[in-house]
Order: sequence, then C-alpha cells, then structure tokens
Amino acid sequence: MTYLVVENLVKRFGSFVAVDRVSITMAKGEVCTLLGPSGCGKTTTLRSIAGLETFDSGRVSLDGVTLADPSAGTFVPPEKRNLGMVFQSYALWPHKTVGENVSLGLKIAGLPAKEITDRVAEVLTLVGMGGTEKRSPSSLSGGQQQRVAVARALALQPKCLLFDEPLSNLDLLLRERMRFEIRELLVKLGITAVYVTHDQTEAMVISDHIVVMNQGKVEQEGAPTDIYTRPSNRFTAEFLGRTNLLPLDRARSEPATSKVAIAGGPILKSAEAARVSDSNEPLMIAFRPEMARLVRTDETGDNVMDGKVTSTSFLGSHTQVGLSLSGHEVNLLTPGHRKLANGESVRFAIDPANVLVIVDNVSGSEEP
Amino acid sequence: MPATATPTARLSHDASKGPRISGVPAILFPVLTLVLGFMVLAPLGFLVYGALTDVPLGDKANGITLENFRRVLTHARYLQAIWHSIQVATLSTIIACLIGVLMAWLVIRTDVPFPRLLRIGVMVPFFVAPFIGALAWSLLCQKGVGPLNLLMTALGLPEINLYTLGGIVWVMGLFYAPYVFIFTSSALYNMDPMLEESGYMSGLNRRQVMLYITVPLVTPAILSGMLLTFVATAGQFGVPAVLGAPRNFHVMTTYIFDLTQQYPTQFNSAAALSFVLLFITVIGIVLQNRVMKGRSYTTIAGKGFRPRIIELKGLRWVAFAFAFLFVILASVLPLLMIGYVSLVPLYTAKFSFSLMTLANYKNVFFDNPMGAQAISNTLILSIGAATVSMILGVVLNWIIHRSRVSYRGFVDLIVMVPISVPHVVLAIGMLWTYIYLPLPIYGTLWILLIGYVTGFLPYAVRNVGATFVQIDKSLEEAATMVGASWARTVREVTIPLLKPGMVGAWMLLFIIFVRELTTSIFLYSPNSEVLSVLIYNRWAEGDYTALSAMAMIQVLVVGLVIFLAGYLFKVDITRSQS
Repeated sequence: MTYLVVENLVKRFGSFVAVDRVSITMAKGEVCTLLGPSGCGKTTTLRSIAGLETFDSGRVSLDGVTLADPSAGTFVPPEKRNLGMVFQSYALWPHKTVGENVSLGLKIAGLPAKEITDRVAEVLTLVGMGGTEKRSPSSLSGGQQQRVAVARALALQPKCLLFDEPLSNLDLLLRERMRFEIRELLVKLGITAVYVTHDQTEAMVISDHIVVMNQGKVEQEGAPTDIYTRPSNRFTAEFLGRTNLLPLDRARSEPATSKVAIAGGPILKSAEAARVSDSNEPLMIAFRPEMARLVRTDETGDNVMDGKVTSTSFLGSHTQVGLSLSGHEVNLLTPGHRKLANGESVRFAIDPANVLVIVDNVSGSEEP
Repeated sequence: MPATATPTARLSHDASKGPRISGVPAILFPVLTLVLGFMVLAPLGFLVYGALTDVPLGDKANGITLENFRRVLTHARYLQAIWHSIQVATLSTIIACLIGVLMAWLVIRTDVPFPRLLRIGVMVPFFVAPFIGALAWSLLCQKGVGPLNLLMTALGLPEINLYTLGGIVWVMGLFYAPYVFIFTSSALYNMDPMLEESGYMSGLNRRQVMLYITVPLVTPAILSGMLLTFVATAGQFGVPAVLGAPRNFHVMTTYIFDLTQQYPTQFNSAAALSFVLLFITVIGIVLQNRVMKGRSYTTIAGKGFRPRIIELKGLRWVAFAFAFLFVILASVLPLLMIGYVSLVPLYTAKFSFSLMTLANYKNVFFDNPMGAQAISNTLILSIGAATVSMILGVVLNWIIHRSRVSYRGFVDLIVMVPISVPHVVLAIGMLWTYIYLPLPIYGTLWILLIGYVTGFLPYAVRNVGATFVQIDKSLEEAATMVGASWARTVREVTIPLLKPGMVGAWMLLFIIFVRELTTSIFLYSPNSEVLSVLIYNRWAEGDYTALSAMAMIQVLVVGLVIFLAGYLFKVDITRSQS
C-alpha cells in the first residue's frame, strides 16, 4: 500500500535544475533514505515534502491526500501537513527549555495542559531524555540536543518523520551510536520516515529502502543489501563503498556463455554478462575489494587471476592489497594481517556472482 | 528543459507555484511593500515634478519647463552654493578621515592607555549631533566673549573667527570623525589575525606587514566610510546653518532652506537645487558601492583571537595625548561650554560660578509653553518613530531574508535608497508630496514621523538585519513544522531571538530622532516644533542661555538612553551602528 508518494518532482533555481523528475514511493511504516553527495537534490526533495520549499512541477501526496501539486495549484502549508522534522542543526529554540521546545506544537494544537505534560514526558522518555524538561538546550551535549529534537518532532505523532542529515554535526563515535538508536526507535514506533544523508553507512543501518541520488536524479533505489551488492551503475557502486572498476572489452565478451572480458586482460565469468548484449550504454566490469579471495598460486577454476603486488596497507581488521592486473590497478581486502612484498605475484579469485557489469554513468571522469 | 531562465521568467514561475504565503503575510507583505514604495519613491517623484514645473506648491502644473534647472545651473549665487557644498564636504571628509582612521588604529591596534575611555570619547560627537557641536563651538569662539578667544587675546594672538569655511570644516570634521572611526575600527577589529601572522611567518617585519597586508585589507572600509561621510557632510544642514548662513556663506542645504523661507517662496528652485544635491550624493554612493564590490575582505575572526597589538613604547603617552586632545575638542569642551551657559542667567565674558542657577531649565519646562510642548513633541515623535522603524525593520527583514515573495528584491533595494538621499532633499520632496495627498498629514506631527521613518529606514533595516541574519533559518522552520502559523512563529521564535537587535536598533533610532534637526526644520509647523527646531530658532534670536538649556536637555535624554541601554539591556550602542 502506498503512503508517501513523490511524483516527477522538478525544482529549478534559475537555469539550474536542482531536482530532476524524482519519484519516490513509500509504504506505511517504511524508512527511506535519500543518499547522495552534497548538492544532489536530496535536501531539496525532503524540504519539498515538508512544504518548506516549493517546486516547479510534480506532485507530493501523503496517505492519499495531495500536499502539493503546482499544476493543480494545490499547496498545503507546512504547518498544516502534520509532519515531524529533525534538522541538521537540531534547531532547538535556545530561549525555551527542553520542555517548552517539545510542547510548543502541542500547545498550538490546543491540547489540554495535563495531556501536554504527559505527552512531553512520554516522548522525552522514549528518546532517553526523561526528566530534562526544565533544562536549557544549551546545557545539553550535541547528542542530547539531537534526541530532544527527535522528541520534539515525535510529540505531535506526525504521519511521517523527516530527517535532514541529523547526525552530521555529531562526532564520529556518537554518530555511529546514534544511527542504531534512531533505527531502533523508528522500528519500535513503526513510523514512516524519510531520512537524508550523505553517509552510506548511516543509510545502510537506518533504512529499509535507499534512494541514491546524484545531480538531481535518482541513480538507483532498493533495499540496502541490493544497492550494495548489485549496484547497477558506477556512481552507486563508487558512492557505496570501494569498488574496483575495469574497462570492458565488448568484442571479446560472450554474453551467451556468461563471459565478460577485461580490456587487455583475462576473461571472467559473470552473473550479469547478459547486460553486455542488452545495453548500448557504456559498461564497465566491477567488483568489491572484499569479494576477491587470495588463493594458493596453484589453484585453478573460474575467475582465477594473477596480479603483481604494488602496495600493502594494514588497516587493522583487514589488509588492503594493491595489485596490478594486466596493467589495471585493483585493490583487494583480505582479513587479518598479510605480509606481501611489492612485485610479488599473487593469485586471486572472484565468485561469478560478484563480478558486476555496471553502467559507466560518471561523466567526464578519468579511469580509476 | 529550456535553459533560458531570465529573471522575469523566474518571477512568473514563482507566482505560479501556488500560495506559498498565506494568512497574515499574504496581506501584510504586499500592503507594506506598497506603502514603503510610496514613502520612499513618491517624494523623489514629486521632487522631479516640482523641479520641472513653475507652479507653487500644491497647484496643478500646465506643462513642464527646464527653467528652474537653467537658473540653478547658471546663476552665480546657486553655483556658489554648489561650489561651497563640494568644498565643505571634501575638506571636512579629509579631516574626519585623518582623525577617524588614526583614532581607530590607536584604539584597536596599539597599546595606547585607556582604549575603552578613548573609544567612548570618540563616539560622543556621534550622539551629540553636529548641530549642537556647531552651537557650542560658536559659543566657545564668540567674538570678544568666547573663552577660547579670551584665551587667544590673553596670549596676544588674534581671535578665532569660526564663521568661515574653515570653521564649518573644522566642526564638521570633528563631528563626522566617528563615522570613519566606526568603519575603520570594525575592519581592524574583525580582521583575521592569521592574515597578519602569515605575513610575519613569511618573513615580513612589522612595518612591511602593516604596509603590505593591514593597510590594503582595511582600505575598502576606509574608502567606504569616507564616501559615506562625503555624502553625509554634503547633505549637512545644521553646521553651515549656524556658522555659514549668518555671514551669507551658503551651501546647498542652507540655500535650499532659504528658498523655502523667503517671500515669495521658491519651491520650484528649491526642488531643482535639491535635485542637483541628490545627484552629487548619488555619485558618492555609486562610487562607494563600486569600491566595496567584491572587496569586503574583512573576514570575521572566530575563536576570540584578535590581531596583534602594536607596542608604541615611548610614543604611548604622545599618542594618548593626541587622542585625548581630540576627545577634549570634540566632546568635553563643547559640552562644558553648553553646560556652563545653560546654568548662568546671562552669558557674558565674565566667568562666574557663583551666579549659577537652574532658572533656564525651569523656564524651558514650566514658564515657556513652547518649551514643554517641544519636549513632549520630541519624546512622542522619537518614541513613535523609533517603534515604527523597529517594527518595519523586523517585518522588512523577514520579507528580504525569509520570504519567497517575488518582490523581495525590490524591498531590499528600496529600503536602502534613503541612504543616498540627503534629508534636505527628502524633506523638500515630502513637502511636494504630502500637500497633494488628501490626508490630514501636512502640518501635523504625522509628517515629521513619516519623514523620520523614511529618512532613517536604512539604519533600522540594517541594524535589525545584522541580528536577523545570525538567526538560523531552521529555528523558524522548526516552529512551522510543529504547526505554528507565520504570526505565531514570529512571536515564539523570531522576536525572542531578535530582541537584542531590536532593542539596540530602537535605542539608536530614538537617539537619532531626539537630535534630528534637518527633516524637522523643513517639515515642522506651529505646534509641531521639536526641541532641535526650538534650539535653532533661539539661536537665530541670540537667546544663548535658553538654547543651551534645551541643548543640554537633549544631550541628557540621549545620555540617559545610552546609559539605560548599557546597564539595563546590555546593549553597547557605541558599537552597533555600522
């Protein structure tokens, strides 16, 4: 059942197209993340849903009610949309106490005083800030302020919560902890939420559904695991984690027998080889560094290749090995500590399921 | 997607985007914009009308003529006034700059003793008003009576005659030095110290750092302050009215005033001459914008680091003596003089402290009905106009910084127009405007109120705006998201956070209005006199003791407000008017 729908949203600033025909469909209770680099239009999309931004064409509707549709002249003002929003800067009112921050919306809604007090206490407890009603926001740490901001957004029991990069002002450790807290809270409440971030790990932890955006367009969307393991294009592959990219030699590839050829290099078996015949777009071969296994030098089989070591870096849990594969540079991640000399020849293998064929949609970029 | 997004195309886009604003703003914003547009543009329009016709004020014209401009630009008396204005403005700007820049450097960047005292001392003339300064100095140098001239005679030197170009330039230079000081000191104060430190690290010595880094960085601020001072001094009325007009030394402002006072009045010529004055000041403002364009280097230094203080060593007390001399000449002497004269029954060359009395004050408050009336008019107008200006400042800043209305660019532009319009010009334009308006404004306090608000609109908008831009927009959006209407958002979030800026703006404007002379002298009518007008008229009659008492009352009211601002509201007005 569809709940929040964004249809063909277009937003221009002068001649600059900030959001270019973006469509998102969400079910009730789903957590969806808009993921992309700064300036990709994710925040503009979120603010258009909130009503803080108008747009040029398209439609936003929630639970069957149109919130904004320029062609029909419909625009529900943000204060009437019953949405909760958590801002990047927390946006707690510094001149009000924590309790006053959370209760303002309830007061405006005209709830009885008793109910307001109860509701404020309830949501503050929910975010782990119970009993802080009388405190001033400035006396709280960044993480605590962010929790209060979440409580404020929850107090009115909104139809949908909007998060605008809520963790980007926190330090790394806290940010990593808050991800899980927010995920847990959202799951517990079963609330529909749109979450904007440029942090891929945050997106993977928090969402049921990720929409990867770039330059105002949706590049790919799907469940976090799908997006990560089966990126369909270079932008998505590179934005979510590290990827080895290799040029595809179409002439030597045989889609019929699942074979794809690396330009000037070995021919690999790939589960996605059919794309070579299906698509006219520029394609590349890709695999994640952790999907390749170093194997004994006498091992044979599908997708076994030899490379020369160019660098090794010990990262703690893994060792990153830089290799030259037929003149192409690739990186492998192998668990634990491996000592390899530069120039040493190593053999590695990749499961055909993990050899990806992706669209090279990163315009004007150099070879990796 | 067509890439041809001309501004107009964008505006029509915005308009088609549905009702972005609703509720109160949907009516308030357009109405306010129209009223504002009228207040600022109508006087300029009617000024042109007056200058291009030959009918008396209030009549319908039957054709246009260039005769007024021909007269203004060919007759010797007009040309002489124009020439005098340019001379006065240029020379007093030079003096103000020399003093202002040097004082700013001493106070902000050196270890001169008592910098706080000096900073307050430099700012005093700003609050006393040049007109009062001119009166005080004319008393100090009265022929055969003034204490400075008594001193000169005792020393066997010729008496100082202040009723000259030199006298006008001297007083204006002293009293406009604070303007340059404000610009220069904030540039020096806010400069990122790392810019200079990287100079030292690159091997430059102190002199080279100053020459190659500091000076170029603050030059735009100094030039900007200089051009604004030029515009302000060109439009100055009070000082030349006191020190020039009595000896038939006319500048444009005093000549325009004369044209409106003589019989038969010559409002058409006054309008034409006003237009010439406006032309000169607009050139100044255009130059100022040109200078500042892309050159406001002053990067605000965070973290509380301040640029390095330069040790003056042996010159410390020499520098202090110079700075203190300025404070004495611009603040202490004039205020002492006026204070003394206000306390004696008769002003003569014989100095006597035994006869001191409060009779002059009693006279102003109780015996002279005009005195009490003027004080009450001054307070009503200043409080009213400061309040209206402050409210306008809040709403207009909201339109400019927060709303998406298509005309916000127009509002942003229009609020700054009065900065290039000398108050004499605005007043003449208003006389031409409001006489045609079928509203009972002419000859009441209302026209003064409108004049004050219009003339000082840029101060209100900028002062409130400085605080406004520091408020994170999402604080207001957060209120919207929990269901607050525009009015509720303003009440719950904007106003509480804006309060310091609003209080600061209100007090600054109140002070400016209490000492306002130029707009008032053109627009007042019997029963709507304000204190400044009464002081001016008393001076024309040579009633020095009464005028001194009134001037002191004015100074005390201003002083009281500054004191209240500092101790009650913790607002340092001496720092808040750039």
